[in-house]
Amino acid sequence: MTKLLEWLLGVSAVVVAWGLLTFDLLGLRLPQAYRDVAWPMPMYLLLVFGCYSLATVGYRVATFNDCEEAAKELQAQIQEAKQDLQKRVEILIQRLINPGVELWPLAQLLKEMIRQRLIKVCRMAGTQASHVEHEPTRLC
Amino acid sequence: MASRKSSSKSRDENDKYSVLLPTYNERENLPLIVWLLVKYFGESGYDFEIIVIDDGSPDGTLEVAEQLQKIYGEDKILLRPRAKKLGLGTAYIHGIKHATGNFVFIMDADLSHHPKFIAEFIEKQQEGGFDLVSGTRYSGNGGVYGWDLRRKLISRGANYITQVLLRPGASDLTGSFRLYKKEVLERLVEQCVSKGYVFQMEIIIRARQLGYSIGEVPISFVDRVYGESKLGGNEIVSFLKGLLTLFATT
Ligand SMILES: Nc1nc2c(ncn2[C@@H]2O[C@H](COP(=O)(O)OP(=O)(O)O)[C@@H](O)[C@H]2O)c(=O)[nH]1
Ligand SMILES: [Mg+2]
Repeated sequence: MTKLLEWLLGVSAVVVAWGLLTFDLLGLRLPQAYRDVAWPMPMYLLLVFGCYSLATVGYRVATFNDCEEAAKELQAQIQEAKQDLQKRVEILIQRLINPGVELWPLAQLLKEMIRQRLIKVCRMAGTQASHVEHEPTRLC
Repeated sequence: MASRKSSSKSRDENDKYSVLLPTYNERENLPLIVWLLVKYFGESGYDFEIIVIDDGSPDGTLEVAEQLQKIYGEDKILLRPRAKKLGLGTAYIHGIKHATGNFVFIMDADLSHHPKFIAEFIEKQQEGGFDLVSGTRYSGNGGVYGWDLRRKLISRGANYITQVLLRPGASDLTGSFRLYKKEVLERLVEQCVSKGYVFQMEIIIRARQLGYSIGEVPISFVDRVYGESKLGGNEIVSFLKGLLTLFATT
C-alpha cells in the first residue's frame, strides 16, 4: 500500500467518525453536548497539528548544531594535507628522475615538466572553489 | 579481494570497503578528500579502495585523479570516468559495478562529508549487523556548518514534511553519506527510479520496504562555501515533485 493510500484511509476514517457523531447518522440519539463537541473537532485537530508542527520545526531550527569545531578542524587538516601532498609529489619526482643526471639540461627540462604537472595536484588542492559550477541543490 | 558475506558481527579480515566518489568539477577538493580517506582508513586499519567516478569535468578533475593514482597506487585509487555529465544516480550504478569490496561507502567529494566518521559507520554496522548505515545531520551530535537561519528553516521544514508524509524511519533522507552492504546496495539501486538527490530519499524508503535494517550515525556536515545562498524556487519545486512522487508510489 502506498503512503498516499494510507493517508486517504486514515483521513476518511476520521471523516466518517466525525460525520457519524455530528449528524448522528446511526440514529443513536446522542446528547446534544456530544454533537457540539464533535462538530468543530476537525478544526481543532488541524489547529493542534499546525501548532505542534510549527513548534517542532521552530525548536529544531533553534537547536540545529552549528559545527564550528568541525569546520575549524577541517581547515587545519586542509593545510596539513596540502603540505603532505607536496612532500609526496617531491618524493615521486625524485624517484622518477635520477638525481645523478641533474646537470644534463634535457633532464632538467623533463624534470621541470613532470614537476609542473604533478604540482598541479597540490596547487589545485584547497584553492577557492568556483561557485558557478556548484549551486546547492538539496533542500534538506 | 572480492568476498561476499551476508553479515559480520566482528571485525573480519576479509572485509573490504569500496568508497564511491562521484565528482563534477572537484579538482580542488579531490586531493584533499582522498588524503583524508587514506589517513583515516590507514589509522583504523580497514582494507579499502577509492573509486572516482568523474563525469567529464571541464575543470580537469580527472587529470588530478590520475596524479593521485600515481601517489597512492592503482590498487587504492580506481578511476571509472564517464564522458559527460550523466547525473548522480547513474554515477553510483556505474561505480558499484567496479567495486571489489563487500561493503560500499557513498559520500560526496566536496569535503562536506568528513572521512573521520568512517570508523563510526563501520563500528555501527558491525554492532547491529545493519544492512545500511546512514549519516544523519538531524539527530544526536549531528549538525551543519555554514547554514544561515533561512537555510536551516528550509531544511528543517522540508525534513519535517517528509517525515510526516513518508514516515521513513530514518532522520536524514537526503544526506548521502552512507555505508551499504554491497549486495544490498545493488538490490536497492535496481529498484530506484528517481534522479538526482531524490534518489537518496527513495533508496532509504525502498530499504525500509524491503525490510533492510538501518543504523544511523550523527555526522557534522561542513557545507561547500557558496558565493551566496542560491537555494530558490527551482529547488523547492523539484523537491516537492520528488516528495509527492514518492508519496504516491511507495
Ligand atoms: N559523477 C558525477 N558527480 C556529480 C554530479 N553532480 C554532482 N556530482 C558530485 O556529487 C557530489 C554532491 O554534489 P553537490 O554539488 O555538492 O550537491 P549538494 O551538496 O546537494 O549541493 C559532489 O561530490 C559532486 O562533485 C554528476 O552529474 N556526475
Ligand atoms: Mg555538497
